[in-house]
Amino acid sequence: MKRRTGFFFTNRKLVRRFRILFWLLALSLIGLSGMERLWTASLQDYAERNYGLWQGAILSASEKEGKRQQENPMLIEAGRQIVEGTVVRMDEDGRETAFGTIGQADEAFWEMAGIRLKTGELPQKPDEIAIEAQGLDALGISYEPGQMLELLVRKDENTVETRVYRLCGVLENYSRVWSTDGSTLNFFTGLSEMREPDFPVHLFYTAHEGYGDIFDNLHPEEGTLYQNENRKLTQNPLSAQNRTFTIGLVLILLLFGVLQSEYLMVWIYRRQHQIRLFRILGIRSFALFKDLVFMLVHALFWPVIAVAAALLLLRPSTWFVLMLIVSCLLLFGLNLLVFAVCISQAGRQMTGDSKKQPFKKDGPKKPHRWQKNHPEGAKAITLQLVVQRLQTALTSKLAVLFAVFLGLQIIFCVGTISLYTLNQSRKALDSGVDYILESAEQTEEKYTLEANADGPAWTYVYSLKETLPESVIQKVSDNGNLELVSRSSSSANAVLSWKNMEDSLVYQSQPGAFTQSNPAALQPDPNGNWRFYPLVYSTDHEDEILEIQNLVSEGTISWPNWKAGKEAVLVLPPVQEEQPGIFNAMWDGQTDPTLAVGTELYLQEMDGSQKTMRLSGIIRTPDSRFRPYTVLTGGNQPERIEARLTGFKNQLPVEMDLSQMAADNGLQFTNYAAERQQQIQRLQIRMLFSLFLAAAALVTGFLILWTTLQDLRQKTAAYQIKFERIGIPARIIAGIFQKLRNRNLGLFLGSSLLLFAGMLAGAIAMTGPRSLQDLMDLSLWLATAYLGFLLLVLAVNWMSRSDKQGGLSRDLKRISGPQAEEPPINQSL
Amino acid sequence: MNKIRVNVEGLTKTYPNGSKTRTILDHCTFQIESEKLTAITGASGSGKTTLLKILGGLLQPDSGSVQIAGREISGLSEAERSDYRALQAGFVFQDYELLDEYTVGENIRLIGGLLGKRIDEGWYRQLLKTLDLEALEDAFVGTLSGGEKQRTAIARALCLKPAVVFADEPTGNLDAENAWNVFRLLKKCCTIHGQTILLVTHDLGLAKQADRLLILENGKVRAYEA
Repeated sequence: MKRRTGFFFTNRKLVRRFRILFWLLALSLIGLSGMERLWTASLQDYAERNYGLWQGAILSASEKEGKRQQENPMLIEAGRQIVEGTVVRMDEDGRETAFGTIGQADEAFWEMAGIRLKTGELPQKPDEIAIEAQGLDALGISYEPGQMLELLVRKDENTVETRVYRLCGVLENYSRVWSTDGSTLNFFTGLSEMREPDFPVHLFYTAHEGYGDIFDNLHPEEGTLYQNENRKLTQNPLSAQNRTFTIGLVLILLLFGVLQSEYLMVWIYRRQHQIRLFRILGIRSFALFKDLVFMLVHALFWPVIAVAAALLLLRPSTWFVLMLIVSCLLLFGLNLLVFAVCISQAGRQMTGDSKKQPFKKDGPKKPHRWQKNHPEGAKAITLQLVVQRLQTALTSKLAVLFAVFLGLQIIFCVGTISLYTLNQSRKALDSGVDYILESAEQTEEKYTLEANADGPAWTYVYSLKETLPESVIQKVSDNGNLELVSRSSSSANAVLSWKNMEDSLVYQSQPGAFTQSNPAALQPDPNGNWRFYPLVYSTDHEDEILEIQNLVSEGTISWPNWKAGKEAVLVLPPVQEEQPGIFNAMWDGQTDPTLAVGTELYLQEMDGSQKTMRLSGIIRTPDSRFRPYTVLTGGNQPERIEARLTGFKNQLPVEMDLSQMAADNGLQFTNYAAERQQQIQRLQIRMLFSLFLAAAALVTGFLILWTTLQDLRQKTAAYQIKFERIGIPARIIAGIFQKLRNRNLGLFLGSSLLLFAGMLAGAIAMTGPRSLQDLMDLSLWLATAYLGFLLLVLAVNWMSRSDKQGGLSRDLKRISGPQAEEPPINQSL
Repeated sequence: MNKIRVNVEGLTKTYPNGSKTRTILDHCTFQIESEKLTAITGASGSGKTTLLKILGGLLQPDSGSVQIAGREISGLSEAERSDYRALQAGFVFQDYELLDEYTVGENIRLIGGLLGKRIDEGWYRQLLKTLDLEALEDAFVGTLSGGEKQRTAIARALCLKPAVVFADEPTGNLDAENAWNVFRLLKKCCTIHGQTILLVTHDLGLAKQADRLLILENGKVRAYEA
């Protein structure tokens, strides 16, 4: 069987060059894949050692649930904990404090958990116990193994029993760094045969190979499902651990992409005469393009097989494989588009001198496209003629080129707008919070009203929070891996009063009925006197302060005084009495007549201390965040601090430190780091894709316009001669004249205009701007997206100018000889 | 009797010449029979190449009708003319227009390969034999003499069995001996393969040996039988 014959396909040198190029590319990619695999394996190992092997866990489930999940063929039980109760301690007042859960763990759990011992060994017998360091710290017990411990264990609401254990080992803190909300066991006893069957269990699972996403769709009937987010390696190509490989991949693909494009573009440019000959012989550009694709596929076949086999064997990360495939396809697609344009241009341009033309004479002037089929002149307009001409227009190169430009610009706009939106979200996430340390709430019944003629008996239950110890705030501030985002307190424990308060809206409400808009408003004190307990909110978060500044509608505030707690801002929106005694913030409601800027406010704290503040600012706008009568001021000792990581590199040690600090001080510790990191990573991937999309559209547009301008320069020379004949010796004018007449530029500008108008119309239709300002904002926003394409045109012009002084044109001229710059001779094709 | 392969009626072609127009072909009418070698000759600028381009579907006439193998080609769209040139017409040029980086065999097969057409191997072999190219099949074109190149170009033109072969001064770059050889081969192709060939030449000696002679003068065509 004879081998396929083609212009590109049969050219031995070209095929050989491309084979070498593609093999080099394949080997580079295989090498990079191998390195990525090794790196990922080491990271995975590190994550599993610190966060356990488990992929999903059902906490507080039952044995029944465990049996149910055993029937799931995709799951493997990796270990289980049996919860026996909570270790508690009673203080002198009879108040109970919990110190963590106690129970047993099976051998499989210990094998997969990777929990390290600070000292001692794991429990082997039922009377031995291993305890997390934070548990011992909280109980005030030393780490010395062998000592006997007497623990009070609450088994249920009614049963508390005393148990005696021998401390066999101290475990490093794990429960707070695992993504299980600290719900796992803290006190581990040895396995015992004698256990009650209705103890809750914590079940830990891994999935069979290839079923890692089972946990996204697992719905246990009992217990709460958690996924081991810390074990999952980031799939973000821009994350610190993957960035090196992303850059490597992009550089390799760019290098080979540019080499391939440059080589083939020059190759085609040198063979313009031959391509034109093919056109004369009846070969269409598409046939040549198809031949080129065959050649590329032929040269690519074995390298692609090799890369695919290597990927199957090496199994690099999913993100790497996806990025490799998408990047290669995009790059290959982009290259093909460029090659298609090159072939089309090469077939159309007449660059050789007359001796190099197959036919020796000048051709005729190109007839107008409408006249091609009607050389005898105009015809009567019939429906058939109109349809025929419409078909011609739709299938013409103009329509295709117009569609290409329009498509590219749509892609560019979608990419840039998406990038802009994602960047806004990214900024919001960047200023987010990873960790919250706050004092634990202590619930206390305070006031009880006896039933009377006005209403039933009613008890007000309020929660009290202590302020955070200064040492904790200091430690967080001093931690180089953390950035202290805010210190805040929000409590309703202080009594607020002011002059003429009895005439205020506060006193017009029923006791307790004002709760709908202000839950802790008017309450009786122990002496039966009505007192006003509004929410007092204090913060040093710059964004929140800025928000408050923007909301204040009356008054002038000295912000240093405000931060020092000397001045206050009161949220005092108009309120409306919806039902008798029930007020809600409304636009058209009443305003409190007793409060105005300058009023002295008296704040009496729980300890009896009194603070006088000047009411410097009033927020009149109803805001869902601030309830009416909320006092906003600074300077209070915080009950809550928020911090974020300066980088995710030292996440584990930071979390260990914070969880230890929380345990030591009896604070609540909330960890959002993993969640925020994942959100950032997801956003980064989407941003990368949008960036790539916009860049690809921009580069393609650039290449098409650049090819056009290459052609333009040749034609400009001919126009210059014409202008000189009528006494205008200006190359610039000739250039402008030619550019104005240029089809591609016209199509580009036309498609830009159409797209711009379309998007504007669409946006107006969707958002329905209410004012001229809205419309201007919208236009400005869209115009920003177009700035990129304007830069593109400028870049093309700049390239065009600089190219005249050398660059690719010079090289091509050197390669192809003087005929490359000759003016066109024959326009017949 | 041979069938009419090319039928031209009232063919007119003008070129713009400043503000005026210059008539190159003025209501030309003639027929060319199949399986004949027809020579076209005339003074420089008489319109020989223009006529060849119109017949080859490269130019559109201003008016008139051109039928090749019974098909009107003057009203075809550009895509249809492309197909016509690829499948119905063969071209031989003075400068051979071969690809030096490819072998003789590849040059001959190339057009068929690009069009995705299956080459008739029997016909291909027969062509190589007729044109004495068998020994040169795997030789690169860059290594061939002028005569060998022109024979390769003729084989390429005939490979897809076109209705008509248009040869634009195929002997112009050859010495007298090689010119005659090429001419004889073209005649042989007409006789053996039943091909219709239109030959544009300045060489009256060669032209007179053709089966039919068309002389272009002042835009008019005068036909002479051999």
